[in-house]
Amino acid sequence: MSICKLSTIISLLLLLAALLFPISSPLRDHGSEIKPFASLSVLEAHGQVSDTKFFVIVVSSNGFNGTDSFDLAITVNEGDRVQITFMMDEKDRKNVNLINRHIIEITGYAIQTEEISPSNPEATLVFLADKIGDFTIRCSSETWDCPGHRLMQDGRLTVKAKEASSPPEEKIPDAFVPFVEDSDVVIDGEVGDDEYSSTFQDSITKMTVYWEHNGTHLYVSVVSQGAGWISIGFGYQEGGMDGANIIIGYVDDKTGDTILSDSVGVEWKHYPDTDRGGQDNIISKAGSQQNGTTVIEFVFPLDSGDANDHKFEVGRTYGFILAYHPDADNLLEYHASRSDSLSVYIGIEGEAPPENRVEQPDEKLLKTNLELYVFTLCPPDCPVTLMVTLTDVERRPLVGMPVAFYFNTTFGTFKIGSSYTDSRGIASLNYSIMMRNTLEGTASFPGGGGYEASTAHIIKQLPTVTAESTFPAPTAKNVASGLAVIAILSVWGTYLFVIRQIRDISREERDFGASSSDRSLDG
Amino acid sequence: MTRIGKNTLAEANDALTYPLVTSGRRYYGFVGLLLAVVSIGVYAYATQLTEGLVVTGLRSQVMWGIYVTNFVFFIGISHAGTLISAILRVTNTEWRRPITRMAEAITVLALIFGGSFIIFDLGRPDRIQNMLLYGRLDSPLIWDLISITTYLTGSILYLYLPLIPDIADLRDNLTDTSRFKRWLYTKLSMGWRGTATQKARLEKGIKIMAVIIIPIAVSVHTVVSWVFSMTLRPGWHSTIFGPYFVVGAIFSGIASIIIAMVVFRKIYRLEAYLTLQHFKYLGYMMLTLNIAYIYFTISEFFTSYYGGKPAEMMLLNSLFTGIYAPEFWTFITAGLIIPAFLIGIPQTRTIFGITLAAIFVNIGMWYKRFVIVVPALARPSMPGGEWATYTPTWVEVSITAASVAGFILLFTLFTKVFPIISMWEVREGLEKPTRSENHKVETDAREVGVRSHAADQRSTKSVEDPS
Repeated sequence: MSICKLSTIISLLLLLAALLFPISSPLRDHGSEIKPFASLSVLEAHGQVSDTKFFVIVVSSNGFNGTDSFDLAITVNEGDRVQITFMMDEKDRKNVNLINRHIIEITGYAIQTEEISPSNPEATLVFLADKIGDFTIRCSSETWDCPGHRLMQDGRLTVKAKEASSPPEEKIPDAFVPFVEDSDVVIDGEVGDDEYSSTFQDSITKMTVYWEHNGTHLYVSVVSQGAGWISIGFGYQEGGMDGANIIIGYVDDKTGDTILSDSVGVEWKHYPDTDRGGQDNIISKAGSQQNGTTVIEFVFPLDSGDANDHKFEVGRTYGFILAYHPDADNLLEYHASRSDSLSVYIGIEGEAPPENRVEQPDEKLLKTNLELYVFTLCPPDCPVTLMVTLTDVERRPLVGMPVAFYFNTTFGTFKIGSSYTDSRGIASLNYSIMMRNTLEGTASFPGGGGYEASTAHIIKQLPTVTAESTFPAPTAKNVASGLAVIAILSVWGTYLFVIRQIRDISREERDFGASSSDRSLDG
Repeated sequence: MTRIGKNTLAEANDALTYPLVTSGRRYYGFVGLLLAVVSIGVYAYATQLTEGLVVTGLRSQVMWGIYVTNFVFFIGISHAGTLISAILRVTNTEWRRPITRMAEAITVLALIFGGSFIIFDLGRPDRIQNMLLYGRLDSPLIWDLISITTYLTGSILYLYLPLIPDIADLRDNLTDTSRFKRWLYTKLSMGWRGTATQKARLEKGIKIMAVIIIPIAVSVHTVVSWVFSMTLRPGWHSTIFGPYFVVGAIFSGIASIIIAMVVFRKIYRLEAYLTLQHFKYLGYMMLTLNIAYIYFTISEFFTSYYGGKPAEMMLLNSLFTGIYAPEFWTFITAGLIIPAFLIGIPQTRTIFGITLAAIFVNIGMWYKRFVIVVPALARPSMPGGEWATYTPTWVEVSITAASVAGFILLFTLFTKVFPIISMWEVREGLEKPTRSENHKVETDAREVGVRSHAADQRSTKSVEDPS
């Protein structure tokens, strides 16, 4: 109880302190707070400007990025414009000792930051990577007596020579929806031979999808090996359920009616479009259920105009997922089986279903680079800041992209929230966590906008509790623990005493038996 | 032969050992039925182990459903026993004698089945070892583990000690029985011969256990309540949860004893030992706790309501008029109002009326535990969130039914091996002179004294007056 109360009081005090003495946090948009770049002249000195690659490095008494074991390695290409922002760790910013300052330099490029100190906690280097080779990022000898100086001597900058880019790897979609000018599909809940022009069977769920389109509408039939609900969702490639346009429904066991809902996936839940400001855009529907097999058929516009639905364009590839329940019609029941995130290509008029058709070049997803950092403002029970930088392979920031943050716990991955990247490709989240010791975090970019999904993990040792921050809890806790242990031991000691009484009862009988036999022998 | 009232010692022995030597067709049918229900539960649990907790209604938000409800319910019932038996023993209440054994057996079995529900609630029960290997003393779950283990050990000792003389009795007199039983009686009787030293040791052990088991029982349900109240969750974070849970536990515990009494009274023909008076005394105790529980309930909800915090109000609305209103008002009606009237009105204070009240109490108190556990979890904890839905699946219902059946089954088997009423304590009660007999003895003594005094006077007079 006392621990809870104490942490609440500490949190309130910190909140008050934060309000009274606002500090620059990596959470915030630094656009208006970044100090003038003292080293911008370096850039000009090196001449030509190309795309910029951004890096953020935390400078602390524990070394670069808060750990002496962190192998700081930055790799860029020749000709890249490189921007490295060095930020003093939040904890160190409270240390107003005069020697608490750093100057970071990059050998070989002969550039260095202005002095980083609690009063000037950030400095940025911007330069053109025009020299090929390995260079050292280190704390300058000018600040030889600064905290953590020895731990910040081995950062590495690698500038690679430009290479001719290799052709992107081509990916074949899992399924194909052909164009059919005059569709023969009849929405009657049954799939006849050759009724649909294309079919796909999922290896995991054993569900079969029949489909085709006429340029304006999608004709779909989904078959499951169950009598419960059945669903198909369309969305971004690798997007899973989140944001997918989900058609879900069932055939009523009693009435035989087919109930279908045009829904939208939000994370791992789904909601009818009508609950999310949209409308049900299913044009026609039918279904049947017999011999443990359920069939649903429906027609859906390729472009419904509903914000909850995806606009399907011919000649492009989308993601889709399948799921069903073997017996439950209740749409809230968790699926019994679901497919992986699959992909489907919407065919162009006159395009035959190809055996080995390849992805269109303009559909190729670009690789992304996600880096995750964790900052702690103070010892445990205080907010933890999770921050990511999201860039493409050229280290150019991706702006306005969603990033979800998770903690990995003993009980699995726990989502704590999401955020969007700012103009520097930075997204961050503050979280108050009652956690000690090691923190394992994950950040995930689901992909989208032509970019591939990416994930980043981090394991960080959190600071230990200091004596000042927990006073007087340890004393109270020790006394309480001691009393509890004494009470428990007393109880178990009493049990042993009672068990001894039982043993003595038994022993008396043995003694009696022995003396009886002695007497009989004597007799 | 000693004869006091309408029972003789021989009659008492016959009546109390009657269930041990007779088992009719209906008994085997009943056991078969219970085994069938247990088998369904085993199948359900195997399904859960194979498929995971996804086959239950439990999800990330409502992760404690009827498993934890049952856990709290069974731990509550366990207070029936040892605590009530101990209080009556410590206060030397005479009418306790036919009840204590039943209460102590309920305690041990309820603790075993109650604890099992924690295992059922685990998606990965193989990881329970981590609780022992890596558990921290800061965690109320560890406190729970320690206190329940301690209580179970103490309850087994407290059940066993008063059993020793009866087991020895069965060892000596119940010779026409199976070899297993004879072996069991010989081993468990610990060589009891009823010597003065053995009696002294036994009484010492029973007295110590009776005293120590009371604070342990109180601490157990307090710790169970702390599992909830140590969190900051609205609906759980309450300072009165400790006493609230303890009172509720004894309340439902007494109700369980009454139900067990009426069943065994009828089946084992124990009408002479479990009389209306016993039911009335337990009924009065139950009524007292009923009123105490009403007081705690009003105090709990009124303070939350008066504070008016949005989260608390959201929860209260769901209970009073919202989605959990049916469960909540079932608790209020069945658990608190109906039993109070049934016992409070003299005309319904019969064995039937008191038993009906006890059944209502147990139904109502199960729902009380449900409305403690589930709504507080289902309430959205983030702004704009939605209420989680929770409906127990056939797996949870089957495991619950199997546990209840298992509880009844083991209790039934217990009564077939050991006397359900403490024979030696009843005998002791019968041998003890009643108040009227004491009065008669004292009167006789006085009369004898008066006569001898008169005789003395006469002899003195004759000495003084030789004429």
